Amino acid sequence: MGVVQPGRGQRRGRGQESGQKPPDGGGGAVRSRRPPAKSQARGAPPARSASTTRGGPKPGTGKAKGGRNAPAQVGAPRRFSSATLAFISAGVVVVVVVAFVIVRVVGSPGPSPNNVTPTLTPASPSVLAQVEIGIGAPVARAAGLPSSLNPPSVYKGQPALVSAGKPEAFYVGGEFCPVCAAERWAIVMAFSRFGSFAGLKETTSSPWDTPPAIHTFSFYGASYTSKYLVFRPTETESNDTGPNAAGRKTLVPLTSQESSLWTKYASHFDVINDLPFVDFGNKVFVIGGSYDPTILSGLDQGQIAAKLKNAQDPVAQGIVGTANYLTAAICSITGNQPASVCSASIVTQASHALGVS
Amino acid sequence: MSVNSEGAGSALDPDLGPQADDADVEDWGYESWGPTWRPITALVLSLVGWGIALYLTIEHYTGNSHLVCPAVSGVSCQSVTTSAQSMLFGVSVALLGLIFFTAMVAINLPIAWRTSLRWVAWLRLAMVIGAMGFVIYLVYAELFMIKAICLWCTGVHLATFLLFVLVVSCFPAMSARRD
Repeated sequence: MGVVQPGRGQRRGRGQESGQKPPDGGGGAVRSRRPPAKSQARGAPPARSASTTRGGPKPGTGKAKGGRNAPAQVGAPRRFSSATLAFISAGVVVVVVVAFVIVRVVGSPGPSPNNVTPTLTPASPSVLAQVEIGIGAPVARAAGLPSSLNPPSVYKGQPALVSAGKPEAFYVGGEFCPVCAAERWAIVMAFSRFGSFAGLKETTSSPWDTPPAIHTFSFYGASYTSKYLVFRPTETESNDTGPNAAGRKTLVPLTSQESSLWTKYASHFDVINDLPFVDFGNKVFVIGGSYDPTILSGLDQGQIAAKLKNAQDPVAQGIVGTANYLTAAICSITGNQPASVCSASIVTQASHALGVS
Repeated sequence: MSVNSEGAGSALDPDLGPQADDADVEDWGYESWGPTWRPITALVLSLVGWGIALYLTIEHYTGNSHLVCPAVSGVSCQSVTTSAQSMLFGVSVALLGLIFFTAMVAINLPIAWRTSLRWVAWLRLAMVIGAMGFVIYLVYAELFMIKAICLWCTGVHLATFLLFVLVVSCFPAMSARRD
């Protein structure tokens, strides 16, 4: 360390003369090449004092006017060393993230009565009556086709899916699935315009999924009859019995035809294994849900049903708006039958929007 | 001790002014930003972030069917990568990450670290600050909106954080260069 490189250490600012640390506080390669304090290098006694050894100016900032050994200028501009900058920048981010984690952990609710395995109970007739909103109802027109929705997808030119001489639609979902939970409200509303369900159950999606415990129906054990089409709803996976999908199992296996159609059309739309999946006659498809299920968070069955009266409510926008699209999808495979449903202006609009009119 | 006299006489003049500024630049390693650990680390971190972002982007557009993620309490890559917060203005956040890290790889190439163009240093700083702010938002979204953590995303966040610290700490030296 006795030799100073040419043209380098000789030009130190005054800060180093007075014992100032080099700016690269980390002691990198540059620092290691630095000379000792210039006063030593020039044979002068070290000029150390309380005022200059601590808090003095950084190198290059202490251009003392009073000579080489003059104390550093008070109020001279300071420059942070790289180590200081690294420490400050890292510290700010770490403090913010740690604060987030603390608030999340401290503020998270403990075990609640909701964190129990959902049960299936027969659907309330009064709730069903509120859900079975006819297409001519003012709220159906007023809810319209909100832009916040994810409309069904159309794939033309495919072989029609038929069963017993009727066009067929099938649904694949899971009882644990919150997106399926939200979609079922609209499915029940739309298909009720063409026929009737029997054996619908009330339940919630998994309390351990996200968003948790969305109140809904289950198609498990339910049936649907219509003179216009066949609808086969399948809950292929059960609900959870604990965190991390604990206890989730196959509830109703898919037929090989359903399984292959699901794979074929989901792949076509670059979405694989996403629930729910609804195939309307191999022509119109719902893959992964039409609206954000979080708008149903915290609402029980009766509260959700009650909100369907107000077309401006986000719940009605999501459910009734989706049902409008689904109604148009059904009309596209029933040959626009019945006319009382399929000729409604909102259905015509939805058909135009989907490109199936 | 001895001092090499080459160029020393005038440099030691107390009223050098601009020459003292030159010394500052050299103090910060003006001539040593080539094969040092910081540029190399920045490039490696950018490549790591790019790789994870590419993986998440592919998974996003293939339905997350092969997303490898441990199933432990509070961790759900599926929930995070399929959440409403996984899209920003209709664009996948994973894709935005891929674009960002592609740019970071470019701007952290050795030639970009050696350049004397100040705007490169400023651009690099702006990019990491913006990315760090976005990462903080994403962490907030994971903790409070989605209520699940995605470990792959956390890997990207960590790479961004380390890049942020690295670039911020290097910035004084880089910005002090002569255009």
